[in-house]
Amino acid sequence: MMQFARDGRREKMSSKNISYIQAITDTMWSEMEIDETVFVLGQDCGRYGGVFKATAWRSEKDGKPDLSKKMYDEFGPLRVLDAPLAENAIIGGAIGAALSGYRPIAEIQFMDFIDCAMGHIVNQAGTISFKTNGSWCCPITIRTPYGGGIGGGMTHSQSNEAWFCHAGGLVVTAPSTPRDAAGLLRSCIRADDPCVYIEHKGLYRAITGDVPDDPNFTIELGKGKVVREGSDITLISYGAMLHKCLSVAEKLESEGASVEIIDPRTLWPMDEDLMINSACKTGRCVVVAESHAAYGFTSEVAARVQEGAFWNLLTPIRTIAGPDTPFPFEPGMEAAYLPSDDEIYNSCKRALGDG
Amino acid sequence: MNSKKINQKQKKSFGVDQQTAFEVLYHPLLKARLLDERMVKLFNQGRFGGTYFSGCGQEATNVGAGVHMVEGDILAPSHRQLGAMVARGITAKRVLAQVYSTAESPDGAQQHPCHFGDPELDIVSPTGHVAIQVVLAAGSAYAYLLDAYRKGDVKINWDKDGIVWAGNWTLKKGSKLNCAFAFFGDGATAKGDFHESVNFAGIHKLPVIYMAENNIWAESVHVTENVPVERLSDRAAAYGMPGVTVDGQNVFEVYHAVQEAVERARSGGGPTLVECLTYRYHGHSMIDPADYRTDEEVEKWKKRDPLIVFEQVAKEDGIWSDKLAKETEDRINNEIEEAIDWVEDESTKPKPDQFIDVTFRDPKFNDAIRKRWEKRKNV
Ligand SMILES: Cc1ncc(C[n+]2csc(CCOP(=O)(O)OP(=O)(O)O)c2C)c(N)n1
Ligand SMILES: [Mg+2]
Repeated sequence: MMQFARDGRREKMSSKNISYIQAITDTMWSEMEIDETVFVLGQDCGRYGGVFKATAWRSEKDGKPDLSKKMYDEFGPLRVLDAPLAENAIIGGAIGAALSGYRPIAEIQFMDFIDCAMGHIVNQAGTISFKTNGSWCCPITIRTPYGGGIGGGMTHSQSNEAWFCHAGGLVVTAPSTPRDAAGLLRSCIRADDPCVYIEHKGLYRAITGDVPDDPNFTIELGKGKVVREGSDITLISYGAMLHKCLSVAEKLESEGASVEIIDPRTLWPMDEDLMINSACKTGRCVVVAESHAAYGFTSEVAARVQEGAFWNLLTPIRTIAGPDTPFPFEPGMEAAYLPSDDEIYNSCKRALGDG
Repeated sequence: MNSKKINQKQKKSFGVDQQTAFEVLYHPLLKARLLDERMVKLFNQGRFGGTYFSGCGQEATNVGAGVHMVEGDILAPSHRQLGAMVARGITAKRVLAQVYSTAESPDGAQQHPCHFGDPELDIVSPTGHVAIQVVLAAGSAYAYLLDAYRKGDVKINWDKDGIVWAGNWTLKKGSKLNCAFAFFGDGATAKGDFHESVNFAGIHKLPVIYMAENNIWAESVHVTENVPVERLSDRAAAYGMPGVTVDGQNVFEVYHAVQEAVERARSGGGPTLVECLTYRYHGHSMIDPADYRTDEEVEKWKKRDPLIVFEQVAKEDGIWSDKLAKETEDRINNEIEEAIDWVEDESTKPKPDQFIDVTFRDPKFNDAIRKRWEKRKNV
């Protein structure tokens, strides 16, 4: 909880250093403690704790998982439901429960399989408010792991977030750090709008970070963040690619270029002004994502930034995205498929006019 | 079943008394019919746009189930459930406001005629996607189970190793659950959504009433081209729930069958699949000439019209009253005429013209969308 020092200034909040996936588990756990109407459903979520163990153990004081008790043991089988192998039942069921007063968190085991429940997500969840003229809401959170780089092959690696941004009526969030993972997830659970919350599976245990130890810590949906300030070029990215951008920025910095990095955090509705203002300031912009180029995140951001920052741009906006093909398995091809540090670096260099 | 029920079965009206018969069953039956036929006319006169899906012929099926709904029960309709909505208590004004897309429309005129609900009565506004609402009903029913669980009224029965519960629970004596009512056609049962819903509800013994309206046709596709078994209700066995087939033209029979199902569901006995044999008189929608079926088939079914069957059964069982029938009809006609005058007047007033403000619940998201909208409008 927040503490205040005698002089009225806020003392540094206590926080925990935890992994990205731990931040997700801890947040669900704490929300389930606070609000009885929050429950979890998904394949293997209960006894097994989820295939990635996202619905398994809460962290201890040292940030490590407390292996003595799973979420299932704590909250019982009805609130951590082992759902049948049926994506329509999971999402459609979550929607029905939401309409009857609950805040379900539905897990789709891999984002690749979310297409099975598309009608429910896009045309049911995404339209409840609209078609009741704002009198009903659909407070569901759909959690799902996305992204490549783990040898998952064609149907365990996809980044399909654009489908949902395109739908009109869904909030889509993509945290890139443990802190954002916690703050955004809590906001999604508490939001009255249906939220698609995508988790980069490559980050689950690859990164750790400080997360406030506060059961009410939220991050505003729809707001991006300048994760690194700079003045020569703007890099816009999220997920695993954001971390590549961060390391490229270090290299560019050592070569004398000042790089600003923006993490949109919420992909839809997007924080357009933040990106436009940054591009206006630096005059150069590179957008990076591993999802498909065609009609995707990079194209959308480039279009909006172009419109808003045109007269301040010094060089064309560049985009780096996954190729518009299915996702390959063979490790060499997978590595080639995903945008690399070198590609990001070269693109920035070209934007900076050096090569 | 106990002997009392068997005795009642000897009467085709299942022991329903005259007052109940007219107040509870005949009134919504006739109101759905008169309102429906009126809307067909109004559509053909060009009074409203889009298209219209008539439920004429299927009123008994809808009413016999809909009247069992109580406060808190969710109704998940498809596109032909005017009867169920009327039974639940929707007014002619609310229906017409929606169909005419006036400012008073329950859905703010966002949906086209016949894909509509009424949030005030817990009637879900369905998507145009056939069968999706069937899954939603299972989810609502799961919420009702959670409601009881949170109150401490649900006991979980673990297996002997203490590992699996698999929906094995018992409800405290005296505790009652809400029910979810799902309506869907024969065609919808070919969809995976149907299977996932009944499977889920079967596993967890959820309080869902599955109302399968077998009206022989799914647009132009015959039921035998959608369903490989003769009786839709036979499928229930595969999902661990009782399945019954009833005469969907006899409102008493539907009423009785659904009553049993509802009593079971509310007391923790799980879902039931109720197949109703019924028929739609008009084409699939107003633009469908329905030339895939024979006139003889239509005439055969019209001889067993729900209103005719009601009168026959009521007369046989001595509960018919010309006077009550006339009074009911007058009452309904008054409501409809008044509602039409009202809606015709309403429709001359400014129509709803905003849809952005209701896309998200959080106004700041709508603002984000509106920014671009205004840019487009103000060029
Ligand atoms: C997913 C989907 N596929 C196709 C359609 C087009 N469609 C609308 S109603 C219908 C037939 C439905 O038949 P049935 O379920 O028997 O209901 P009925 O119209 O007979 O009441 C079809 C194919 C649709 N609305 N949704
Ligand atoms: Mg049909």
